[in-house]
Amino acid sequence: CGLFGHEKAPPVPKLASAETLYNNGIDALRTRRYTLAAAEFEVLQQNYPYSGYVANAQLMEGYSYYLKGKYPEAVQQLNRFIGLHPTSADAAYAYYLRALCFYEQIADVQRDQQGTVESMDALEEVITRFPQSKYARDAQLKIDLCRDHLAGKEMLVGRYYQQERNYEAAINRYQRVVEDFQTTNHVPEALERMVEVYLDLGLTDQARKSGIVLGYNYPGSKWYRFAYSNLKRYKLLSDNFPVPGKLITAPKAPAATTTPPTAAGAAPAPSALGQQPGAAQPMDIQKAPVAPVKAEPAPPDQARVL
Amino acid sequence: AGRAPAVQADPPAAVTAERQGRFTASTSTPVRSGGVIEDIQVTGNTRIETNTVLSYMVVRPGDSFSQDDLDRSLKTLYATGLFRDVTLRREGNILHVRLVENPIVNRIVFEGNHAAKDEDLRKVISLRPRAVFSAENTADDRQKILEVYAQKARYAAVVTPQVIRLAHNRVDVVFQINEGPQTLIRKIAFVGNKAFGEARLSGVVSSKETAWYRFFSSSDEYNPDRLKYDAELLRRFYLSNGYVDFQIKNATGELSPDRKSFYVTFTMDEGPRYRLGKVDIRSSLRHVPAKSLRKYIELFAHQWYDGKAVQDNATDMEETLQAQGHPFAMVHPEIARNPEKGVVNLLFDVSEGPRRYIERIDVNGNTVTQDNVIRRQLPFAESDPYTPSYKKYAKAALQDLGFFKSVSIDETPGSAQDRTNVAVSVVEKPTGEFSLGGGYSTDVGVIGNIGLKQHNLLGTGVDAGLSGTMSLWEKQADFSLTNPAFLGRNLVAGVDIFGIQNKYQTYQNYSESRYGITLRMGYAYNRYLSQSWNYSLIRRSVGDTWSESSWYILDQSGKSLLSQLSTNLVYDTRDNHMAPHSGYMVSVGGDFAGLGGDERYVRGKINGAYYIPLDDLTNSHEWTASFRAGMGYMTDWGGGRHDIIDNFYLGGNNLRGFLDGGAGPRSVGYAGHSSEDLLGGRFMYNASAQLNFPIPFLSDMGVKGRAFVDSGSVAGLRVRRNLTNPVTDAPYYTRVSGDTLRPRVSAGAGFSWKSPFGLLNIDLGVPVMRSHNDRTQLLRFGFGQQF
Amino acid sequence: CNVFRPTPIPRGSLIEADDYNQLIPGTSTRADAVDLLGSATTKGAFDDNTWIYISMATYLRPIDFPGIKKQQVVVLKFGGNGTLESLRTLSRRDARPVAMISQVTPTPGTSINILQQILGNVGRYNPMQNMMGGGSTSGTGMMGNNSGPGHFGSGNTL
Repeated sequence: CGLFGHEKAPPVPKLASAETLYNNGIDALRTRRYTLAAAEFEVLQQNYPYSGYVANAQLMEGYSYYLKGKYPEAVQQLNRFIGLHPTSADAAYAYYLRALCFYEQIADVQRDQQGTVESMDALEEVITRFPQSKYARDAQLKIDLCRDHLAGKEMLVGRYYQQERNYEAAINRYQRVVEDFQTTNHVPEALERMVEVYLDLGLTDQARKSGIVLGYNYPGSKWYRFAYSNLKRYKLLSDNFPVPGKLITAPKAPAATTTPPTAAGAAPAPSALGQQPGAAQPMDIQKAPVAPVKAEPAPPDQARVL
Repeated sequence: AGRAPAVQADPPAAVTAERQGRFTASTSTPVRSGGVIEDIQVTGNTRIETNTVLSYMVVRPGDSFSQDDLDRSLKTLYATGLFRDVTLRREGNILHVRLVENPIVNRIVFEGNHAAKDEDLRKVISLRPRAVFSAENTADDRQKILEVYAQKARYAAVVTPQVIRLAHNRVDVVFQINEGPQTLIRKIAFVGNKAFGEARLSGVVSSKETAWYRFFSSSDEYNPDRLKYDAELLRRFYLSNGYVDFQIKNATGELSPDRKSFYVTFTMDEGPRYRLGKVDIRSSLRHVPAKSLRKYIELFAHQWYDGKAVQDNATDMEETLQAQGHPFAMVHPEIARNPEKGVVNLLFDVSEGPRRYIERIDVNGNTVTQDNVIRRQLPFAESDPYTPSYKKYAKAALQDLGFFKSVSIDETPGSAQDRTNVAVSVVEKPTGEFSLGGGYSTDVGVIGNIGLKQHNLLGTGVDAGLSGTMSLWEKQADFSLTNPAFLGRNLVAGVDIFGIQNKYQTYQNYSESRYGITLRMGYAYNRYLSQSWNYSLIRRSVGDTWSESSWYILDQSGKSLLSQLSTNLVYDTRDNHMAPHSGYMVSVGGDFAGLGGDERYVRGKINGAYYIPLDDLTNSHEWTASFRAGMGYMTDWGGGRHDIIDNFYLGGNNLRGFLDGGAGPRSVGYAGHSSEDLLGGRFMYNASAQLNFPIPFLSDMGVKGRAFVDSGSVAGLRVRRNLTNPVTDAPYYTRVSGDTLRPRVSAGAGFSWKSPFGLLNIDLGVPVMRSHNDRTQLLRFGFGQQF
Repeated sequence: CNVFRPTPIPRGSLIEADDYNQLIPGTSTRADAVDLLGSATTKGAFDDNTWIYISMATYLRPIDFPGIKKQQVVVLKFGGNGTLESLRTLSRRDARPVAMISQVTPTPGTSINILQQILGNVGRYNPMQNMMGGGSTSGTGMMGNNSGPGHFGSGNTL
């Protein structure tokens, strides 16, 4: 017995020609009656399997499920469209819409990141299949946000272990962020936490090395200021530590991070994403004067291993 | 406007339907290689677009005619599963592709299925409405349906798929199912058993011969896997009775010619029976001398050799060592047979197993619960040693949270040889309790309550509850919040704010109301010992006392403020808190009232509970015997109000069969003050033995039975004015009766049922020993609905 | 009495003095280190030639975060060709305790709104069909927490 009442039964569209069914569906979409729209397209596909509208009806049905927030049905519908019409002009849009469905289900860092991993795969598929399409650029932007999200989870677990004084666990988590998520904006904090843990363990040379890498790559960041004061307290500083906060000629620290859309809010239509500030240039970490960082980028699957 | 796809607002241009459906009958001559394909003509495709077919084909216009390219494109077209038949023909330089499309499934219907429901079959088969139909899928779906019936022991089932052609190249698929009779086990026979009779052995084996009273259970259905399991049961049974060389020759099930019943035979060779000889220990573990382990051995020489006891002893020893800081300790029992003397010498070899460390812990499936709420339950962190007993403890701890339907911990190899990745996968379950319940409870009458509890608020592990109860005689509202790890520390913090008003006029001649707040704080010393501190500030008022009530009650009316600090030390090794099956719990508590307020007393309490799993006797996990006992004493200091509402009361929950508070001292009525009032007492003890057992047929409907014997007594009059001396207290003299330490005893049974409407509890208690005017209450039940 | 004493939990790699004392700088190689001590708990910062073995024991402390009973770090520095150059051990005294910075890099994302959580896991997390839900089945059920008449004070039942 549903305690919270269930939606009124969706109005069953009456049988009409394929043309009118299709247009009714589009009108229903425009007036936000997404369930009716989906039903219209469904009836069209059942009764006119050979009309020219079937391909578009499938795509628009998937789109109405997406707008309704019923992501599993939307993905299933879009997969059916992609299976039957792989070479249609709208295949790029179908892949992109499918990726958006996963992207909407990303939970916050405290929870299971399965949604993030799935959306990264779907977004990567958009890029590999349609590199020139207008969706590829936005998909790349969203992949960086997903990667940033995964880095956020690593940091969260690292901080938990550091708080519980399991330094042996925390240090590995921070190192993984620095190695596998170099382009995310959690790296400065990861480096600072490494300085903290190394000092707690008494490994002063490792602490100084992490501090120097932090100083050279993120001189303006507050995290460097914290690390600097920690190292200073134990007189571990030396001349090749840049003074924190001083603006070197390099451009100011990259713009604030972009926030991925919240679940409840409707996903901004792809064009809306266009106005976001230019994606942050991936910070080049190789500049560190001390021992060179492991040069080769992490293999993609390792980054996704959670 | 609606967020139309960014591509363009209105739908893409209508796809023109290509219609080329002409068929040219031609002999399928093998395609001559050589020369360039000028054009590819696709014919016969109605539903599938030409460029889709072309995209699957390997060859393109402009390639050369090559035999293996054409074969490959033929294979890819078939692989799509969309076509029933594809033929390639060459006319000059034009390649003709003739297609016959697979029809689309319109509907799937099952006929004649009773044992298996439609949904179960639909889940198993691969065909779906509006999916592509192909003969192969239908064949393997038929096989899958037969497998479903094999599991339901219907080996004689027959499934025939029917295909009905419809217009527009669509088909309906009908599976006609003839289930046939259930094939049951008619007879179980044992060959070669000398030491134990047929009856004893058929008790050990889980498969049973069919009988009229077994219509409900599935243990009389023939099932090959269960046969293997039975062979193992027999081996363990013989091993634990001294037959070390026991062997099962074979365990077979023959089907009767009429395919209706099975004949199961176990042939075995028992071998001699052994006694236990010398028991020795050898330890190669660092810092652990063999002598120090001798105290863990519970086996004696010359008793019959018992395989199970030896194995249990070894695992207990292993677990104690692992808990004492040797995570990799391993205890392996080795036996040396000596068939002539029929003696077995036993050697416990204690050594260090392979070192395994954790590389990474991933928590999966927690869609609601936060990551660190799960992680803090695990006794290991990353890069720590990893042992099976840690894993067992972690799983128990997570299940004890009550947030998850299922918890599974599994390992995958890590980057180095001695590193493993641990994946903790949980399936969340609703932890909200919205009890909009009604019911009749014999204590408070018709009861209606509305309660909203959430044991996992926002996934933070915080237990929050807001509940109100309305009943004929009682109104109660309380708000409670408990955070098991406040600020992430080893600190439980909680607060309760409550208000209760009750007027049980039937057997208590006053109405009472209490409004108060309790602050709770607690911490753990180690895995078993924890301590909690509570401070409660409660304003109580007692009013509209019935004129006929005794002086003791009349003294009670008025307001009083209780300000009490209490602490409780609990040593708890129970395996889980909701339905404990093994382990024990001892708690010592003290309440100190007098930090302000009108009451000044000190109250001491001690409680114990011991749970004995009866797995060996009943070889099922459901049976538990539990013994509970408790004692409390109370003294006053500094002239407080001595209100009787702080006394101990016996009855109701702690003495089933007696009215709540119905046993113990009470005032005796006389002219003018005729009512008998319950006064409680200063000293109380009670003990209870209970047996929890599953009810045979109903256990899978969530019904659990219990039988209990409760006993206890409360004594020591504690009232505001002691009016028991007829001479000095003449006008107010009120005799008190039932103030004895003679135990009241009650016995009874009850059951709890997790019904679809909610949790129903019924207890029937019969007072066996009672003082003459205790108030009894045979039936108690209550009902609450959770979600 | 020892009932109160918490049992220290071994953390990190379990290594002891007579394990790593068998390693001789200059001759031992990475393989010897792995045989004796197992794989390293962690590698140095940006430097795979430094192997760090962390061996700790933490114990439960009331009202506080776990305390450290034993903290021992062994640092093995290997040369380019894989032979051991130096071995250093650090104990609790060499630690440089530092307060953990409380600030955090923000990570947005969809969090569960309060109302949806309070009403239980309605909606797509886990639909309502398993109505039975949790709740104790140990026989106390509804009646368990009802204090009933005569129990006025708090805590006066056993």
